[in-house]
Amino acid sequence: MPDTQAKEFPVRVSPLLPIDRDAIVDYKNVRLQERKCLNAIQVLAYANKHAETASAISKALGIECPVTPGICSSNEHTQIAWSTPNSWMVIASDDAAGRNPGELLETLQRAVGELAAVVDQSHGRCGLRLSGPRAREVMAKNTAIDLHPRVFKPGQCASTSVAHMSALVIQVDDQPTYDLFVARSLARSFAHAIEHSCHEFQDD
Amino acid sequence: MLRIECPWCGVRNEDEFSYGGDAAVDRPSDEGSPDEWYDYVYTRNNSAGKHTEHWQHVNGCRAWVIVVRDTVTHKIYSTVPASPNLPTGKAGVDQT
Amino acid sequence: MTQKFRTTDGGLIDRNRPISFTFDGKSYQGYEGDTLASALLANGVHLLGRSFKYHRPRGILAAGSEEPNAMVELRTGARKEPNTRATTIELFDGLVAKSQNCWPSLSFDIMAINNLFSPLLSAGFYYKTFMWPVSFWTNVYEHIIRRAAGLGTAPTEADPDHYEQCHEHCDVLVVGAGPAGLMAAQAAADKGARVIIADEHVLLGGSLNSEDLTVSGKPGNDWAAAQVAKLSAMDNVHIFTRTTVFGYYDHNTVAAIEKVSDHVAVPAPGKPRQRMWIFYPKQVVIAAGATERPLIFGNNDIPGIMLAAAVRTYTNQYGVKPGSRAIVVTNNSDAYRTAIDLHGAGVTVVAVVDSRTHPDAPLAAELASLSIELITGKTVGAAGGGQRVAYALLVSTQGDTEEPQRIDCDLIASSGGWNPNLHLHSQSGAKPVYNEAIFSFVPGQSRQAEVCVGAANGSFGLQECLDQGLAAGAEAAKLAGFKGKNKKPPKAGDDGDYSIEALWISPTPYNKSYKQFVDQQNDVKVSDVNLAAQEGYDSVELLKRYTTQGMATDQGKTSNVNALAILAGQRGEPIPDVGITTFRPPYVPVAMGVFAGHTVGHEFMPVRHTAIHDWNKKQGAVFIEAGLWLRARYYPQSPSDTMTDCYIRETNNTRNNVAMIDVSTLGKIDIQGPDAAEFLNRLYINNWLKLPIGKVRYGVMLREDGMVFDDGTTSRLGENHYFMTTTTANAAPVLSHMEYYHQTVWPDLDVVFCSVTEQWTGIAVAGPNSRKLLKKVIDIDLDNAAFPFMAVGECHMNKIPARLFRISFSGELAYEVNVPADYGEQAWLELLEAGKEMGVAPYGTEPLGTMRIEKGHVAGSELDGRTTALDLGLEGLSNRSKHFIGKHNSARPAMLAEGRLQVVGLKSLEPGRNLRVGAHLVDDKVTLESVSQSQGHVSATTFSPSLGCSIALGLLKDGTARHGEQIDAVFPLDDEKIRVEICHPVFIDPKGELVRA
Repeated sequence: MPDTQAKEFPVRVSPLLPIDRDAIVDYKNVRLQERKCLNAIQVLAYANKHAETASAISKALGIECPVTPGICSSNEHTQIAWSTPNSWMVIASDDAAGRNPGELLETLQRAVGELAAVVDQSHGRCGLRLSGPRAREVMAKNTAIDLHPRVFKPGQCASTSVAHMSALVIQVDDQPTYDLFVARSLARSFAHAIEHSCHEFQDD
Repeated sequence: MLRIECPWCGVRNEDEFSYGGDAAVDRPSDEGSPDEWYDYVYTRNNSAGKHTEHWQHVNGCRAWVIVVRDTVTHKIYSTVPASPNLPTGKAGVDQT
Repeated sequence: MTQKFRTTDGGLIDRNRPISFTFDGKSYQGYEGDTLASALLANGVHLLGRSFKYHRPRGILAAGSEEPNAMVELRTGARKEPNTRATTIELFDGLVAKSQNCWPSLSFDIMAINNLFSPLLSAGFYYKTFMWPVSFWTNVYEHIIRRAAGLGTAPTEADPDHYEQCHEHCDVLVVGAGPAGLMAAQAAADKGARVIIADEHVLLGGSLNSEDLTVSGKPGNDWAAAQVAKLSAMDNVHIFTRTTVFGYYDHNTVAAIEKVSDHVAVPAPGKPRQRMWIFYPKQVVIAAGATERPLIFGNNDIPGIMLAAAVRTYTNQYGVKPGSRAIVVTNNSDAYRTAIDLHGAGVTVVAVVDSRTHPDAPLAAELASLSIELITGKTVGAAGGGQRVAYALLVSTQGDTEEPQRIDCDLIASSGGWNPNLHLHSQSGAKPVYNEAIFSFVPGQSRQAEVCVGAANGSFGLQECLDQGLAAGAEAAKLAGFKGKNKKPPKAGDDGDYSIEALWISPTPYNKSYKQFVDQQNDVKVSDVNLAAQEGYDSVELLKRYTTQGMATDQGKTSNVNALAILAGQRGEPIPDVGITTFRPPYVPVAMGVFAGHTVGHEFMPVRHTAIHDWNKKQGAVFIEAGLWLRARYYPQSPSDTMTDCYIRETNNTRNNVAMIDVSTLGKIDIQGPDAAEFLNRLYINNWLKLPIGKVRYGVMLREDGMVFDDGTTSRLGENHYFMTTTTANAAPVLSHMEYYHQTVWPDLDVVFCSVTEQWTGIAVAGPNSRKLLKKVIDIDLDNAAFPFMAVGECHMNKIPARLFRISFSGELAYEVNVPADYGEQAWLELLEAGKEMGVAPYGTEPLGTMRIEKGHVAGSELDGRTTALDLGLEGLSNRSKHFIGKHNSARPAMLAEGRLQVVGLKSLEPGRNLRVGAHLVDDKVTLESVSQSQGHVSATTFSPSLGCSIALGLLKDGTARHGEQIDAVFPLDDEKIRVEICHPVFIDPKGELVRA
């Protein structure tokens, strides 16, 4: 079923549509769901405007925009992930905080003005949420980075290889829950790889 | 497998990076002679020992970094940002 | 069937859990806790297979992964696994195993005749015998060799199980869970370090389980079990059982294989069969133990001749009597324990034969108290028997001139001393050193963050193992940044001191010659080593390659040190001067599937789908792979439609009407900033400083060596905002290229950019009716004056926000619509709907290719990395008064010289005959075979519906100046030659009037 939104906007179709279920994986100890209708806005600071851009974003969204690599700040609706040395990825669901599609983009454009370029990647990323006590083990099958709770905690993020594909990993909570973002075109291969890695835990 | 420390993201596996060649060669100016331009593209030392080279953290933060690596032992002596103008900073928690 | 050779009690098997299995079709019983080897021995089965070269009967030599002989085919059908060591197979209910390398049966093997022809099969046999004629290699020799020599056979069906790879980081990795390893793990964990301890076995404790030892006054195995329980309860310790660490790589990366489901008939749902672990430890403690080496004497490969410690393992851990009448032969103190343990299990020990003249007094006394005869100064010169050892012939270590003493027996337990397991240490880059006290190699200086402890360090006493383990574990934790006091090691019960005198080859009984095996798995004999040395292959590396010693699946674990000691003897040099070969991973054989992990079948490569993919699939489009992308190649309308039917129909519909293609795969890069134009100006050969807002320009990029790198269009969307497209193939390389120049060469340019390939679905609408179609759905003025060729604008397509570009690859009036990808399919459907009345239809990459050839647009097959802008007819675009990448090297004399391949059009002059890609262009005076005279080649071909003949693009020597000439396109593989006319590469609408209409 395509996702519906406010009437005046066209219907967004998930790249995972053919395997659309409430949850792609729904085992007792691990779940994989799509984060649908995503806003993913990349904000790229111009030369020597990094700190100013961060302040502007912080102010506009009411969330401390991280200047430290590997950090993702968030509130209930919105995540700001350090993405590259000069850019962030601001992520929210379309309807988060009662926003309309495009509203987050406009908010950010207004906030940063000439400090940074604001590029909409909302349709270019597929978001998946992997959660449950086995989630860390599922991740260990797909990424080489250390996700041990001593090292990688809620509020941290990493751009890395996951299932041999470039992905942004954000730890949401210590259940643990991970948000994973990949290129739209790779969404099916990616979801399939993660799903496959969950099969071992079907009975426990 | 090499483990390369990205100045921003911390230590990551080699397969997150792509190799970008010798970082010790200086790109000539537009006024450079044909010989200088030839050397820039084609002339390399192929040294056994310390080698300064470019890698890109292509499956990570996409930054280009300068790595000093021993071509015999693979020991990595240093990794620094290639761009002097990108904001620096280390990952919140080291990924070693 | 009863287990006749089971002891009445004892052992770490569960006698309440009998397990049924079959070997060579016969049913047997064992117990839980058995290996296949121990269960077979319990049933009196000693003959397990035939040897590699001579097809000699072989049995069980060892009790672990060093086993060279006891290899079986495990399981059947698709799960069949050849060359599996019976000594490492955990027994499970329903296990089916089969002997291998024998025909028609194990006990009667026709190829055993090789044993009689063994003089023909000496070292270097392959090199010497099968030298000529060359044609015999594939037709004759190969088949004979494959049949005669070899191991098990591979299954022919696909493996139904899956394998995977996992990663784990830790502060301290402990390899091996024997006494030293358990102590190391404990010590490191106590300080708070994250510890991984990995062991091959399911039962941890190493020698504590197989030897009669005590720690802290408790039986060794009980102490080990308590220790494991303690470690299991710590959340900073991860214990890996059934996990063999097999490789030590650069930067302290360590690989292991976990046998997740090998101990069951079929893996549980979802479980992998095996899993490869890649560990990233800060520090490594190698407590991998040691491997016993056999003594080398005549017929030392007969079943029933076993390593002395293996005999103890079978007796103590598995409650098995490996024989009824045993002889223990040794050059060291350790094997005495075998005699004592066998005696305790009720086996008659006929004698202990010690080659040393002065054995350790306490041990001698202990034997005497058990009434076991001790023979000193002698050794076994040869053994006898057919499929089971029947007797030993004793000789003096000085050699004899009389008939040897014969002792009947059915078990010879042999010990030539112990070799520390240095494989991982050596793989880490360290060089082992020779130690005169133990006549073996011990760890050298560490090159990575590793340390060897206990038996792996050449320290064989139990107390030493505990002490070293504890110290190393504590130190490793400290080096990894953890503090805390060191604890005291537990007290080990007395296990005697290890003493040894060298005995590398036993003298043969007077006037006799026997085969004395060094490497039992590859059937390498002492005489082969000697021959190699005599023929000049006298370095360890050459010896290995000439004789194949150490190159079997066991990698010479029981033979390497013996072989180089024999080589040293031949060279008359001390062993350290001969050196040791470098160990290579893997330590144990690892299935290929484990290296592949999940990346097989559909997961071999990720697949990239566009937003239109599902629609294309529903339409029955035929797809083509473009990198990782799947693109619609053409759209059959009926089952009888051929590709040619389709691309001609789709081309005609584009040229005469209107058609649509999904071009989402093109690379797209969003570029912004005050210096964006300057950046583009340096990237492209052409001018970018004066492109107006709302305009698109075609651009060409070079590499620094002057060759064309990529081409595409870039649009100016705003004052400082540009949108670049790249070819599908170069999307990622172009982005990296731009990042490289921005970060390393021109960091001063204030510009930012990122890939937006994934954000946009691109749909090209092409053909004379394209404007008419788009006017129905697009909300901006599309009249030619308002939106001319090379215009770009923001707009809406019905409700969908879109960007519209007036660009053309087909050469027709055409537009490209970009919409956010989640709306991609809807946009596609709306365009189809709007164009229905005009007969709009999709077209694939095949007609796209046809039209670009007709139009003379160069693409990947011409941009082959060897062509310059001049070669491709694109030099006119370049502005040499500015600086751009590749400017200087594209002007080198060789780049401008005569004789370069330049792009041309080619027309078939032979109606009905189609040109082929790859055909060589040769002058007509040259014969078909003389491709060396090639003047160039055909790079892309198609039947041109517009021209009604086969046309092509080609790269031809000085082609630009040769329009109008004729030449032959030859394809020698098919004996084909077609006369063609050389022409301008633009076949249709050379003035470009259509695109501007």
